[in-house]
Amino acid sequence: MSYRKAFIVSNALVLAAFVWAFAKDFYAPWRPYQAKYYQMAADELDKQAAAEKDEKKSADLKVAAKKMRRSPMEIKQIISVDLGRFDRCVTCHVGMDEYTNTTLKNNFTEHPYKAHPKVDTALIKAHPFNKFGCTSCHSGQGLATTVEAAHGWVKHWEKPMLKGVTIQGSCVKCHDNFETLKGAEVAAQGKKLFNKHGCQGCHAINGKGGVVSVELGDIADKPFERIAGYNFKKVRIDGKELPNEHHDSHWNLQNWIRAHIVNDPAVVTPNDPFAHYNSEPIPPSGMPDFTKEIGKDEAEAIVAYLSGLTKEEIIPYRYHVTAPPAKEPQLSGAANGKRVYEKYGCQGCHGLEAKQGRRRFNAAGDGQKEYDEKMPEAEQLEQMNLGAEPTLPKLVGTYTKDELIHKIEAGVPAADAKKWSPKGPMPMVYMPAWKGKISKQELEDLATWLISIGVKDDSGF
Amino acid sequence: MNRKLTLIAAVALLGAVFAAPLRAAEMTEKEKALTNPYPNDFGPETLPDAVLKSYPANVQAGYKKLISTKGGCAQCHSAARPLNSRFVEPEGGIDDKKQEAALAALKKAQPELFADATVWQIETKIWSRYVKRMMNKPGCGIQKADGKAIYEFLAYDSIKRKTGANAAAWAAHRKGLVEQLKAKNPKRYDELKEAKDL
Repeated sequence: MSYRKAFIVSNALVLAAFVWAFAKDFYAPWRPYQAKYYQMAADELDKQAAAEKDEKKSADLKVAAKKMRRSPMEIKQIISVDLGRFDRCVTCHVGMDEYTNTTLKNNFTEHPYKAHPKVDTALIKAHPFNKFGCTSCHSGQGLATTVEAAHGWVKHWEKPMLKGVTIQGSCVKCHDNFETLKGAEVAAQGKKLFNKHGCQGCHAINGKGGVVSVELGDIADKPFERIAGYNFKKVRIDGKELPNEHHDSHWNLQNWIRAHIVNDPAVVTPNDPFAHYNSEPIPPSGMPDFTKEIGKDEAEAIVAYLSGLTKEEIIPYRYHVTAPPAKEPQLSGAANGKRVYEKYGCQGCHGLEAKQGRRRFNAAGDGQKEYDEKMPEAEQLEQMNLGAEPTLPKLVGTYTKDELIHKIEAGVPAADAKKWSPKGPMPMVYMPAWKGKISKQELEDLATWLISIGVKDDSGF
Repeated sequence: MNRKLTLIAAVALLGAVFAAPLRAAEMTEKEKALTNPYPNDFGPETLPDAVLKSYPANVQAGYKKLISTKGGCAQCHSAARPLNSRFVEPEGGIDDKKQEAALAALKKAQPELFADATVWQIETKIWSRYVKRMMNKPGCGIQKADGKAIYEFLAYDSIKRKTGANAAAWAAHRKGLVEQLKAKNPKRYDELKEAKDL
């Protein structure tokens, strides 16, 4: 090919690339939304102009409508320097762009045209869009300009848009006072439920709580690769599989947390208790089954609370709202002991009000058959699931107060457990040593309460 | 020759690697106890026949229940743990006042028994509480009558073997067990010493 021909071909290629780039931009998915918004907003202004009796005002409205129709098609964005946010959400959600819709209000009812539903509330007044952007509360991918990418429903985007009440997790990020904050009631309820059911007995948050399982102070930062092996297909909510409306959109942290609460964790994460695939048996998830205690709405509240526990997001100190720790009720004796039991999450293993020890896989438990290695695996699994933590009222009467305090202080190592199946996995959950964590007075009161709930001894010796 | 030795070493190594988890999964109660031991666990798991024969029939029945791996104490832990325990329950049966009187009498007659709690821990109803505690653990399954028999053995045996004329022999035995723990597992020894649980 001569240089001349090569020159002509390369020019044609450059021209084609230019046309392609122009066409790609011209047909960008955000354009129709923006164009429709301008049209709808202009029509609305025209209607108002027609209804206006004052001629000057009517003329002004007509001018505004004309101007609206001629608004340039453009990428719009909110830059929140302090929070490191560059949110282009208003490119489609034009009703929330303060330059196009100066009042930030409109009568449209559908997304992406409608105004922010809470624009008149103290919540939005305290969080102006131009300072906070969108994603600091809603999450999602601020820089993206397609529906799926912007809402975070794409591969490798780890902070998809928060749905429903889980958005209240965002309040938890900055507001240490979220438990008394208007608008964060669901997250506050989530924290109450987390503590009520004793989750803190195993999971510490920012160093406060048990050491049996993982610390949750940064649970919202858990990378997706850490939940890559989680079998979301086994998860059921109201008996149905998780909806997967977008590209693997069910694979997200909120669903992962939710699944642990509304499903029996041992069913979703059965692992390998018979060592079929590993050199040693691996027990299922050690987390108790809370499905009979925690309903779907309550689970949502816990998800909302945990969704706000982040260390990864760098939030300037002036955005933090500090609050003193909540005052503890001034109780004494057995009444305080019950409070101590709940405060440290003992109910996470020993049950609400200590009424029933929870599952401890492959430990000894009441009602188990004698181990027989010829028993079918399904039956063995059933028997291993009957393994249980002690039911305290039956046990506490066999201790003196000092013995009980000593027991709580020393804890019970996992190795002390009797396995139901000698070939099965070691029961995972253990009682940590509480010495130094529970104050002397609290221990004293806890022992007083525990002894008070002990069942009457009728053993005859 | 070298090739043969290499092959044997490789087979032995592989055997050790694959057998280790198997061993961990199928440890006896004695082996398991020794991973996190108390001094008691280093002692014998049975009583000498001569001692046992000197006990009344009902007490012997309690002993048999205790050492049984089917429905007895040894189903969950080594029988060495109760048999070599420092616990002593004063005579008096289930009568609190009688036990308290027996305790006072023992303090007067043999004050040395109260000098070293690692050898003798003498308390009223101590075995009664422990047996009931074990019975109330999930899945224990020991029935009241058997529990009572086990308790009667432990209470009787604790007085017979650990006090009176047998006190010196018991002290030597118990101190030997504590020394064994100290030598074999000094970390655990320190842990139990700090927790006053030796």
